[in-house]
This record gives sequence, C-alpha cells and structure tokens, in this order.
Amino acid sequence: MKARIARRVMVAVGLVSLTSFGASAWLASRAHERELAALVERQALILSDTIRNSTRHAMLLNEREMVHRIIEQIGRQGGLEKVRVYNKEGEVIYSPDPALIGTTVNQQNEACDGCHSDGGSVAELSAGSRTRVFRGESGERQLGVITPIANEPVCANAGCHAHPPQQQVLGVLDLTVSLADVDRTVAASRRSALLFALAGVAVISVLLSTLFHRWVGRPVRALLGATKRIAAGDLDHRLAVPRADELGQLAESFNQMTSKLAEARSMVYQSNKLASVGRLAAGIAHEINNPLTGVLTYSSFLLKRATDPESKSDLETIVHETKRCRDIVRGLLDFSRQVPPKKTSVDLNAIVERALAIVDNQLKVQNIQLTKTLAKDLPAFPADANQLQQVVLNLLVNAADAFELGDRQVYVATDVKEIAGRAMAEIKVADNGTGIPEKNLGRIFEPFFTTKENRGTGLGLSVCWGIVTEHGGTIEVDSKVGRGTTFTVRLPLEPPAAPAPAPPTVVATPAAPTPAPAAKERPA
Amino acid sequence: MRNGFDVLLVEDEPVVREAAARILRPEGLTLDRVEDVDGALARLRRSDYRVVLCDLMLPGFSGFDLLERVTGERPQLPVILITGYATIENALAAFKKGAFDFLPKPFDVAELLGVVRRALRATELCRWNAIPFVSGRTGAAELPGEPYFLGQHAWVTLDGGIATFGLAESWPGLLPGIVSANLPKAGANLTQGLSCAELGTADDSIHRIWAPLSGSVLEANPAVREDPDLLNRAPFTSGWLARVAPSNLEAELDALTRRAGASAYPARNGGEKEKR
Repeated sequence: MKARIARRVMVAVGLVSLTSFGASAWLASRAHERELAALVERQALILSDTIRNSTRHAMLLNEREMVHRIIEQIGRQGGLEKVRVYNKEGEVIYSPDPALIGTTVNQQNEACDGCHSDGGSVAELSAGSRTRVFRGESGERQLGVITPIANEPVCANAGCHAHPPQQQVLGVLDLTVSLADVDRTVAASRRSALLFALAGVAVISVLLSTLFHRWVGRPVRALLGATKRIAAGDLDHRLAVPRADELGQLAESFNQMTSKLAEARSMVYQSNKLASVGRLAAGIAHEINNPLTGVLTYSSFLLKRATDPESKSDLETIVHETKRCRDIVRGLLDFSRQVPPKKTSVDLNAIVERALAIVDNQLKVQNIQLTKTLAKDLPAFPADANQLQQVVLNLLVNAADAFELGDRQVYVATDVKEIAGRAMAEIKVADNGTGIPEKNLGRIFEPFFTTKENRGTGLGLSVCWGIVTEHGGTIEVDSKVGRGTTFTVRLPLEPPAAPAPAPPTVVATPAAPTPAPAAKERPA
Repeated sequence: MRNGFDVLLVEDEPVVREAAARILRPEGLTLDRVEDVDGALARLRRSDYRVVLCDLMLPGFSGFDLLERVTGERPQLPVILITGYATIENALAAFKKGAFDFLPKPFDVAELLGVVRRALRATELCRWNAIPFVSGRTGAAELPGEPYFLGQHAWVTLDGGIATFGLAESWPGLLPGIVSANLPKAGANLTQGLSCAELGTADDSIHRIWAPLSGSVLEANPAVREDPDLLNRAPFTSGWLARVAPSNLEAELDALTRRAGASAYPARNGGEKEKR
C-alpha cells in the first residue's frame, strides 16, 4: 500500500514539476529566439543599408564593375546567403553569383511580396515589411531583407541618363541572411533547458521520495506492521511516537486504541473464563450430585445406625466431608448463577451499612478496628442491591481474613468520582493486613484461585468481578506485602450512552439450594 | 384387589435408587422403583401409591411431564421432585406445576425422610390438594389482602412495599412437632427459589423452606424463634416466618400464583376427593 502511495505521489510531483519546468523553459526559449531573430534582422537591415550606401557612388557614376566588386566582396562574408540587385523589371543586375545575373524574378516571388503583395506597387516600405523569413533550398530558415533603391535627382541628371526622372524606384537590393546559426543556438538552449528540467524533476523526485519515505512511509509502515501484529493477537505492541505531527498523533491514538483493546480483550477473556466455569459448574453439579447422593445417604444412614463409637466418629467425618463437597458444588452453582443484574435505584451507603452490619460481629471477634467514611452527597443510581451487597460483603470478609498479628484496621469509604468524563460511585475497602504478593495480584480475580487453603472456593472475587463488570463498572486492587490491600470498585452513576458490550454469556443458571453465605466464599 | 406401595421412586441412577431403598425400608415403607416416566405411568395404572419421588432429568419424558400427568389424573397423590440440577427455575416451576416439594441432590437421610414423611402424612389425612383445607383452626382464608402463593409451599402478603411470608398448606399439621428453626437473620439476602430456612422436627428429620421471593430480610418472626412449632400450628396468622424488603418483586410475582378465593386452591381440583 505504502509503495503505491509513494509511487503515486512521485508520479504526481514529477508530472507537475515537468509541466511547470517545461512551460517556463519553452517560454524562455521562445523569448530568446525572438530576441536573436530581432538582432539578426537589425544587422541584416544595417548591412543592407550599408551595401546600398556603399554602392551608391559607383551606381551614380554608372561604374558597374565597381558595383560588382563591392557586392561580390560583401557576398563572400559568412552568413550572407544571397545579395541581389534587381532592376524595375525584376531582372537581376548585380549578384556575387554571375549565373544569376540576367535572370528575371517574377513579381510572385516571395522577395517581391513587400511591395507587390496586393498586385499593385508601393514606393515606400516600412522597416517591418522589408524583412521576411522563408525556407531556403537546403531547408534552413533564411531571412530576406529588401532595400528599394529610390530614384534621386542625381540619378536622373546623371551623365548616363539611364533613369527617367518620373521613375520612383529604380531597383531593389535583396539580401538573404541564413538563420541557421540562430536556429542552432535556440535549439541548443532548448536542449539544455529540457535537460535542466529533467534533472530538476529527477532531483525533486528523489528528494521528495526520500523525505516521503522518512516522514510518511516509515511511520505508515510501522503502523501497518503494528496493525498486523495486533491482528495476530499481540496487544502489547506499542508504536514509538517520535513526532508531534498528525502521524505522531495517529500513532498515539493507535497506542491508546491498542491498550483499550487489550483491556477489552482481558475483560472478554475473563468473561469467557467465567462463562466456561459456569458451564463446567453446571455440568459438574449434575454429574457429581448423583454419586454424592449415594455417599451422603449411605454414610448418614450408617451413622444413624452406628453404635460403636469408633465407627460413629469415622462416619461422622465422612458425612461432614461429604456435606463439604455439597457446599463446594453449591458454591460453584452459586457462582455460575450470574444472572444479569436486576437494577433498581439503590443507595450505596445503605448497602455498605447493611454489609457492615452482617460482618460487624466477625470484625469485633477478630479485634479489627473499622473506619468508615461514607460520602454524604452520594446520589442513588441504578444497580442490583443484592449483588452489590454481595460484592461489599466479599471484600469486607477478605479484608477481615487478611490479618495475622498486630494492629488490625479495615477502612471502608464511598465517594463520587469523575473518571474519563463519567460520574462514578466509588467504594474502597482497605486493610493494613498481610498484602498480596505481586505474583498473585494478576490472578486474584480468576475463578478457583485461592490462597486460603481449605477455607475458600476461590470464587468470591471472581463473582465480585462478574457482578461489577455486568454493572459496567471496574474493580481494581492495589496491594503491598506487609502494608495491606485496597480494593476499589467504581460503578457508573448513569447508564452508558452507547449500549454496553454484551454481558458475558450467562450459561446455565443452576442454583444451589442454599445460597452459600458470602462469608464462606473466600477467594484470596 | 390392587396391590399398593407407600412410595413410587422414579430415578434412572441406580446408586440413588438403591440408597433411597436403604433409607426408606427400615422405616417400614414399601418402595416401588422404576427408571423412567413411561414405567411410572404403567405402574400408576396398576398399583396404588401414597407418594411419588421423581427425578427431574430422566431419559425420555422428564419429571415435569410425570408431575403434570399425576396432578391432572390423581391430584391427591403428592409428587416430590428430586434433582441434581437444582436451578431456581426448576424449583419455581416445580411448585407452579403442583409439586409437593422439591429436594435437591445430594440429600442425607434426615432430609429425605423429612419430606417423604410429610408427604405421607398429607396423604394419610387426605390433605393434599383437598379443599376446604382446615388444619384445626387455621387456613389461607385468614391471610389479609390478596395473598400470593409459591404453590402450596409458602404464602406472601404485601403491605406498603414490605412482604411477609409464611408456610402454606404443604406444612401445617403435617409435622410431628418442630423442635428447631434455622431462620434467616435480619439483613440477610434471600433469593427466590433458594433455601431460606431449615426446620428440625421431633422425628430427627430436616425440612427446607424455599424463599418465595428475593429481598433483604427485615426480621424473622421472633415468636417463631421462641416457639418454632408456631409454624406448624398457626402458619397463616401468628406463625408467619419473616418480613422482607423485596428487591425484584415485579418480575418475581410471575413465579407466584393467586387463588380465585383464598381458600379455593388449586381451582382445577374443584372439591373432588380422590378415593383410595
């Protein structure tokens, strides 16, 4: 694509510069030609007058030999094609070429056009009419100059009495000058102008293509390469933004788009993961519940009838552990039962208070000090109260589980924030507990990821993630080992203007018979 | 003379069939076992039963199909649906289609015995789908306003955005005495179609109560906390179970039913009494 653009630009620039160079060179050579022609014409006129004047005396004395010699000598001069003198009848009376003398020139001859073009005859001629340009026998251009030889009193009164006094014009001096030199010069200058124009076009094209390659081609190719890499799935690729021009801005926008795309992909990935976990859970539940029924019924039946204390204790363990399996399966089903939120206008502070009321006792027992900062001006917004309470409860229980020894603080806050031009309700749940190691941070929202060994299903936070995402919100975690963890949930106060991306496919909606209390689901 | 069994078990999973038999036989209950709905219908034509225990997912026709046939042809025979795929939708549909109760797998001895005994007792008293139902002194007619019902499992009344619910006809007078009640706490969230309370009875059995609507619990009946058997004795009056702020009332009312007259339920059964 880039090659085509470059070629097109080069062809366009080449054509434009060729046309402009060509036109100016052509105009310049035309002017040059005219100037040279005018110069030659002037010289020819002067020469012509010179011949007439220098032969005048000899003519007056009627010394024809003298006239012959003068004309012969001048005729030898380079560049002079012909020098002829006609008398009134058109008979050549003087010429350096003796063969021409005595021949008659017809009035229709181009040399006679100046006076006899309209069939009549004119005695006086203007300077412009005395010259003519025509092609000679050899094809070269020639300039002809005619100089009428007027009758004068001295001629009429001369001793030879050759000319009657009433005659106005006695004859014509016809001088023909070759224009070959002029034409050669003009052709040479045209050739050099053409060469110059071609060289200019070549230089401009090369220069332009180099610059184009640097300024446009290279960034466009980088952009193209990046597009291909992104199409191939590499969303971590970023373009260098070396300049602040439109292409730089394009690269920057491209990078922004890529990172948005990466975010969206990770969300889709998570959603797909959640969806497949849902499918898996529904399948597992159905398959595992039949054998589990066998185990639970037989063991509880045996337990009921057992008398021997040792077997009784063993059976109790079996029943207990089987019931734990049942709870895990129910947790799975609860997780997969991620229905689209049923939104009503909710008061986030009230939801937080309710969640706090539920964990209040647990916090007190664990000697955890609770600080809450609830925003006073938090508006009601559309959300699923039950689901949000589940999120807050989960985060609180996680926070309560985050402590080992020492000072135990949990901080809960609500606020209104403007994020990327959208008003968002914000819930922060922070603790100063053990923190989450960096290697685990990226995984805590994954289903089944847990650090609580036997205490959790690893689903709590992924459920939170699912709920928040379906509300069009975000959930973020910030944690430092030994310093504590902060979860930030942001929910849009207004539904998005454009339709939100389709929520993750809710697969089956298998429901656990008992909603596993949120306190039991402890992921990270 | 037709032969009779206490329980007809329709279940395609051998281990569950066997386990149920092991649990029910020592109780002196006779059990007939079939693997699918066609077999069950054939048996129902041939024999008398007091209770049907039916799996939901069966090869061929489903448990719902059998439930519809039984409620249509022998309305006074209680059907308990059991399933390993206990979705909210399935639970709600079971009650809407007239199931006596809904028992998710895996269950233990106390849970299975609890629901089977309760259903047997209903049959014994000719109580299931019989009208007018009067359990001693109390009936659904005593409920204020126009109540909603989750089948005959629970009732709901609405008053100014607050819902009160309690146990309906499949409970009172059928329990040997409630000794413990695990009631929802204030602030807890209920989900329609999921378990919201557990009752322990004098015969060591356990009974689950399915929430008739979703919402946040305002309070459980303190009188019932004091005296759980109130649920058994006065389910439509002082023995209400809990008060809830509904979270999704409008959509959830679809799963509930209303009755033409508070005491006339379900209308299709008229006043007929099945002869056994």
